[in-house]
Amino acid sequence: MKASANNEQEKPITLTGAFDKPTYKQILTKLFQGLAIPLCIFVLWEILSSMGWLNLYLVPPPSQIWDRLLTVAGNGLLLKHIGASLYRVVCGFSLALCLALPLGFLLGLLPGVRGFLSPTLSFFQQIPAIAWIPMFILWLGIDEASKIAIIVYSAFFPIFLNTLHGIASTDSKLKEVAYTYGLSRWGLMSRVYFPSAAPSVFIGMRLGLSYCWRSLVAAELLGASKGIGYLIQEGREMAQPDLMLVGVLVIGLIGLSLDFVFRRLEKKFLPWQAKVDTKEVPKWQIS
Amino acid sequence: MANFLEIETITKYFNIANGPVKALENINFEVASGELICLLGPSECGKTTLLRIIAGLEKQESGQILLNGQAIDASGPERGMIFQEPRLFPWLTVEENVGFGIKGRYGKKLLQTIGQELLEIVGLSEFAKAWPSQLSGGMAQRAAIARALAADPLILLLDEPFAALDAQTRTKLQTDFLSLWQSTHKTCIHVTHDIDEALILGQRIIVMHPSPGRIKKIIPNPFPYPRCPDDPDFITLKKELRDSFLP
Repeated sequence: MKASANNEQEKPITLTGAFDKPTYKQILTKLFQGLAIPLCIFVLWEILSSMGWLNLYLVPPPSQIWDRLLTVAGNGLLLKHIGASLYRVVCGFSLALCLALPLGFLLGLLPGVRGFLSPTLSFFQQIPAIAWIPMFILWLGIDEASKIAIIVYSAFFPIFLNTLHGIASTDSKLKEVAYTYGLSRWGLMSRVYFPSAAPSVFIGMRLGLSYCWRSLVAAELLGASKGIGYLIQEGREMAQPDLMLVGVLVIGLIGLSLDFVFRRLEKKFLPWQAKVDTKEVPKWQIS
Repeated sequence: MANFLEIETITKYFNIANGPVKALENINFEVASGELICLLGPSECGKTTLLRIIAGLEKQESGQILLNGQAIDASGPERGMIFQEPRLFPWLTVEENVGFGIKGRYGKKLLQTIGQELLEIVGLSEFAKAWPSQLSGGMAQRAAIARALAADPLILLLDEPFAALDAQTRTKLQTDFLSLWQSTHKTCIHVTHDIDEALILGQRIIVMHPSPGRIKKIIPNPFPYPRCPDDPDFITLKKELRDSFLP
């Protein structure tokens, strides 16, 4: 709450608690804006291929990729691989949440402990999860455990650091207000610290999810018998660039959908944030 | 009238790099129940520090504060603090903000009724379900006043509550605050650096002086409400106040 007194006049005033819902037209416009560039690329790509300007083996045309997609989707292979990948992400991400949230809260609330843990954690933060893959395979075997460990590792830091930051940056002026009403320690946490940290926690979860999705595919490329990463690897071994591209596109699409779901959840649970969200920061700026 | 709040020989130091600095020196005054006091002074005279000590947000080095004869040393619901900024919780609606201090004390239904009533009093009933970010500065400060009133405090402590508002909004809120005080008869200690505001509001004006913060004068202001600071009756008083600002 900064001095909002200066913009007395500029602020639009609505009487309902909810910020205005987007109209159909707004949704369609947004959809069109988002799809315009990919559509142009696909059309151009297809035209260039049909004119023989592109090497069909190195860059298979969109229509061929689409055919391949329909085949693997039709025989259930794609679903099996997506299922395997998503299962790993769900397990790993939940585990990461269980570790990162409490630790983030704790260190946010106890600056004294922070001094002991921060340097060590910063050290580990600098190591990309992918660098651990061989060691994790050595320790945990080539099966699920090592892949889930990699996901936990990559999701942990963004969630943990953003939670920590959210708690530690709780406005001391609001804490003071709570203090004048004589809130208990638990009341202060549940009614001031947690809600104040929630937007930051959400950012951490979104980043964590996208990080773990990326490193999962890397883990699957190195050694797996199913999963999207394996699908790409299979495309390579069978010299099917269209299959590799199917895998790549599916990775992007699923990542996009997961992020979309999280953003909807954020809107639902943090309705008061809607105003902030309209000034949407492009995601590549946050990460 | 019996003394309701007694401020006795309060002294306060602040520790800065070069050692302790005296912020308040031997502050003494009494407040009667239902009285509206203005603490007036230039910046750094310790008026906000004194208010924060009364609120229990700062600790004094010596002296004590007696409320109904009882010494107080922490914050409590019988003292309602209103800050210079509204300090509303951005994740709560206006109504939930008003009920913040009494949540758990009453049932959900009653909480809502109290919230509605108070928002009615401060003229915000239409904005019960709005988010704080949707309010203007003046409206947010009204909501903050409603929140302080919700706990039904014996004393309202106001730390330059209208200082950050534009002139028109400030005048409007001063008027509304006066009628609120007249209808509730809460004891109020109102900190301000604005001579006109002190003239319009205070029954007594306590003038403070900096380095170290101390009371320079306690000036009774017996004129009837509503007051206009440009009234010729005020000329002498205004001059006296302005002179007391000088070293």
